[in-house]
Amino acid sequence: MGGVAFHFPLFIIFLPMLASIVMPLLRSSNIARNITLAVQVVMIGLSLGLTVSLWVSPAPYFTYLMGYFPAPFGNEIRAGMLEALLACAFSTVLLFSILGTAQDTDKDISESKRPLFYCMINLLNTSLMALVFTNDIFTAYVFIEVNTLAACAIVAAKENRDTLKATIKYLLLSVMGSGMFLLSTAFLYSITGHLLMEPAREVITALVADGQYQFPLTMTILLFIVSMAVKSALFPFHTWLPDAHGSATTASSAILSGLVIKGYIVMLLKLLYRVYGIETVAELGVFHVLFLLGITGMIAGSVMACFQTKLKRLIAYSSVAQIGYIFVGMGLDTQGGFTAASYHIIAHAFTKSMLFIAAGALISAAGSYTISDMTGTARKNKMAGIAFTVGALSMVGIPLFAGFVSKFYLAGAAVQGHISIWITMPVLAISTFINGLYYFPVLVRIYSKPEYEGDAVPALPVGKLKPSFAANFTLVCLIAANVALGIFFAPLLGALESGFLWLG
Amino acid sequence: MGLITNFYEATAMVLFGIGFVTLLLQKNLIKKIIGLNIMDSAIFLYLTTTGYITGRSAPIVIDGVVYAGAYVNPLPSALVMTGIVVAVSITAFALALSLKLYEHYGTLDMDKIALMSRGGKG
Repeated sequence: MGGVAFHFPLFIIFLPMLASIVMPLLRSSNIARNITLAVQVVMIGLSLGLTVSLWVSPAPYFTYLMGYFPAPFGNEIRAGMLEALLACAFSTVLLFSILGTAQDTDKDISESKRPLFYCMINLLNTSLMALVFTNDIFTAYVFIEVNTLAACAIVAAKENRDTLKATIKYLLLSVMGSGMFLLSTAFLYSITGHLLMEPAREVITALVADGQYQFPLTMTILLFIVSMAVKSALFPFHTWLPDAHGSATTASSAILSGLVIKGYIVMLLKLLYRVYGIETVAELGVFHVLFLLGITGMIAGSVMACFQTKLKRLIAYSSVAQIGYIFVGMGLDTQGGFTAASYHIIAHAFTKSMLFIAAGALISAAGSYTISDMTGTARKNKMAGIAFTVGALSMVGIPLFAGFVSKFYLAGAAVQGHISIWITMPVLAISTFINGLYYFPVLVRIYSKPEYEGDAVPALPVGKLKPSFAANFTLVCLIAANVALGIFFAPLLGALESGFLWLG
Repeated sequence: MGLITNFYEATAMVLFGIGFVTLLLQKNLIKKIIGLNIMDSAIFLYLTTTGYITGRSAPIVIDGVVYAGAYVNPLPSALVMTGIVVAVSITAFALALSLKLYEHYGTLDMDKIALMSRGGKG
């Protein structure tokens, strides 16, 4: 692996960091937004370039030495097919989440604070990319904290009672997770003497083969799993998510639900694959924990979504269920399960950000957060209605849309698994049924004719009814991406699978 | 006895437990933040202790390297430094957020805040 593409992962991490340094110096929020968008476009280009050069090069991955200190010392970046594709998907979703919600952002956040809001978005982007590419556990810890702070800041950006309460709840649970991550890192470092992932795995494999340190190693994995589960809102630890995602401004909701929680799952995947090794994790019996947590999440998230009266909270609870799907895919302990999980990371990122952007548009068309006030909103804002429909169908798992592919392959992976098929299949069916149960009434409502035209007093000021060109363009692109992911999935699945093959 | 020889590590774990429970169960936001700091300090104590070996000095080379066994690994101290910086920024953010919450709700009691926001717009 030579040439300029070798340096692309470094650029991908540092470009948004530089942009975030510039943001607070800017006075105009439009310039800040345009710079952020330009950075995103460049990053999509860089990650596409990285993907293509990895595709054509004979080496399936490469490690980049930061400061050129060789392996047991120094800090490393590792780039393979999986990392490149995730970086590509994440930057695309982030670009559309900023572009499509400009009207809501301008409405919710005051002019003087907006450059700082974009500063936080750029920082968040840096930390996401660092989590995707880093090869060092302590670097991961630092960027997890950066991610936490930036994510909390973009929830609090729309400053009112609800968002502040949601932010403090999110922050307190997050720091609890970070504390467990740091403790586990300290244990792992004192057991193995390494912070880089590959040297640590060599030591761990040798220790497990000797039968030493079984219990402390199991405890460190469980600590890592719980800390990442808290941050990615897996079921029993999800309590912060509906508040934070439901009350924040639309851009923040889309970014948080689509990307931030995925960054931690990617980190957990890397910890399992690269620090412990799949065989070790299977030997210590940890996959059952992941599987059980995921299965409960799938059902509980869906059931709780049924009882929501506010549109954004409904979509937020649906995220809790979808995170459950990803964990089930990881807990199946088959190659197919991991591939399905990573496909669902990408599919859910595209779908959920689209749902939140469309929901934001529907909310401003209705002038209310409540679902019962949404009657006929899709007639006022046609594009948002179509996007919401596509997103809902994809989340339920209708063929031709992205969500179907990951569910299909999840079911396929369950067939290859050992005992889990008798649990996975019925739970998948029940969860899909409940998904339909809460999404379809919303669809019927937004398309049905309002009975009392102009009779009800809207709770919020009804915004500009005409959506901007950028918002419509974003929704068209996201719908196209969703359908493309649902129909032409084979090459992406193949690339992800080859990425996993070389991840260990 | 493991507990006596590993006195510092055991203390660190007890402190971690105290900090964790304080963060989880206290109602007052300031006390929660104090709990967070106790928890982080416990991990720093643990890292510092594992990084120190009696009789060895810091790896500062003046008259050439004596022999490798005369020094301790400097990495744990570096980790503690980084960790302290992270803990300080989280604490600052949490305190700033508490100030804002006090402005909006007039209390720092999390239970009362949760009740108020449910009683309001919900």
